[in-house]
Amino acid sequence: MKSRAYFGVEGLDRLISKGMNYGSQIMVHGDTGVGKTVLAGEFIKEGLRCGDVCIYVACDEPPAVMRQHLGTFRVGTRAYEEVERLIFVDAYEEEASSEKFHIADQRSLDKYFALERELIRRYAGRRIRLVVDSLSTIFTPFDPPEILEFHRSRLKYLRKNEILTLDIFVDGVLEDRVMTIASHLYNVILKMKFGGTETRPVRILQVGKVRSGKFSSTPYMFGISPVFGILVATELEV
Amino acid sequence: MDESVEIYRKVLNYLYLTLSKTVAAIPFSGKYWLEEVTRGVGERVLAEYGKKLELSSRRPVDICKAYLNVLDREGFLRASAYHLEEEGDSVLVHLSRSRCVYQDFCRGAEKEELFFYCPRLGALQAALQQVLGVEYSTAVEIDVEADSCRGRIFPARRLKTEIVTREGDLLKIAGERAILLPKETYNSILVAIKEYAPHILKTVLYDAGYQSAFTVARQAKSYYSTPLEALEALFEEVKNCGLARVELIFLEPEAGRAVIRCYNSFEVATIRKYGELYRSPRVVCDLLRGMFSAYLTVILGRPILCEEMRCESLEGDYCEFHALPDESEAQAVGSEPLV
Repeated sequence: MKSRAYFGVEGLDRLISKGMNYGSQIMVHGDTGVGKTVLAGEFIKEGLRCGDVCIYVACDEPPAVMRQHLGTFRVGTRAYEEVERLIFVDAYEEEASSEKFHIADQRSLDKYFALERELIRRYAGRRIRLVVDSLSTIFTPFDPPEILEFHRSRLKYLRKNEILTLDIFVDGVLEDRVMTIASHLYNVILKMKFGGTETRPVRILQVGKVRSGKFSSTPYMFGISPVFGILVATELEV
Repeated sequence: MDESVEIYRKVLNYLYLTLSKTVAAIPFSGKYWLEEVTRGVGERVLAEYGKKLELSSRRPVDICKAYLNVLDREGFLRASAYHLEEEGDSVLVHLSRSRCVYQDFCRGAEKEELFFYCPRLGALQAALQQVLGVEYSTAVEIDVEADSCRGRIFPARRLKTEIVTREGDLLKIAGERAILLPKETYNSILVAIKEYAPHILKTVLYDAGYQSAFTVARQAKSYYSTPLEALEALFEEVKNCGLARVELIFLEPEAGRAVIRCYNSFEVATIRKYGELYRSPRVVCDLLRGMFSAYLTVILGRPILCEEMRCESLEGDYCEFHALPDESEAQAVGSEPLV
């Protein structure tokens, strides 16, 4: 059953009224603490309700943090984990991890990619959402040519297998040149940043599609509600 | 037996069978009304002959015996046909089925799978209520091989939401004003929420289901001794209200786990008739999910979260909810403290 996919954030989804194909690749990048992981949670919630298999690779915090985050939004993660609709990959704790899936050696991009492929093969024929939070952490030890070579082949594989991919990057971790080149590999770019003034900071997001330019890159204010998650004020342009 | 007496006996049984069939077609309170009718007969007998009751004590079993003795003396029945025993606050009643004047009703209701309330027990129930001022209920088991009845009269444990009445312009459920909401009105509320605040839709539905289920869940917990009995009573309520037919597939109370299957979900039916509320196909029974979460939270005495893992709106002919303990430490907004 193929259909169009959405983020699960009302204001944001209005901006992509026709949705995204499974196989689309989304780059989310932004300031630390701006809400990228919260967005990842919304993306997973949406996937679970739509019947997708959701794979979350936790690089910057242990998977328990995302479990707890989803729990606050009344998502019973255990029920989905037991039927293998929600899969956590621990790329944070390495050997100390007690997760079923974990990345033991973060110094090998090949090993990381092998695990990703193994999971995708495991759920072949199902609609899969893959979230890597954050890919910039995985890339940190590697040189730009190695990163870009790996990244091209990885995204090609994910596109071929119709995996709806959301890769998160923390701004300022990778070289600007790498970020610029990498951004051209994605269908959708989502930039999240702090704006406004020091006394009155605001969160801002922009949605852009590098290749076709169909999506507007107009900045929109957004906030994070402890009850409803990310709220985008599409009617309030900055 | 005199031919005219036999005809009256048949008419009496036909009357009860017709009543049973009629109340089965009433959306709410079917069992309650049939019980009211059977008990009402006993109340009328008491109104006429009650003064002749010779009570030796206020123990339920003695009250029942005194009542049977009155009827025996007045020629209604033979008290010796009944064997009464005391069991805690209940009275057990044994009676040969072939000697019962209501046996056609009893057998007919069994055959046609209709509601059944034993008029014999209903009369004893009325006597207990009148003397003790306590509401009683009844249950009957038939031993087909021995062709005998084993009845039990016990303090009532009926969920009050089952009781629907009309008082003038007001419809009431358990004494509280109620409204019958057409599917179209319900859908219009959802459409309005979608129009003005689409981001709150799922949360509002879940929370509305969760909050509204607490009162009845607490009642069920106080009336029934096991989680299974309490849940079955609650699921009967869900069906009575026309929300869905619910089936408990699996329950492990100690582990806080359950699997609930739901047929004919009103939320699926609403979407099917009035169109999708969401951009892409998904599970849609958020209100039921909230209700089941609250039921299990109260009945099992720990926070439980249900997830709709399968929905009729997507595929198949039922929805399925998986319940597990809610292990998130954060307090959900709007959640109620446990009882």
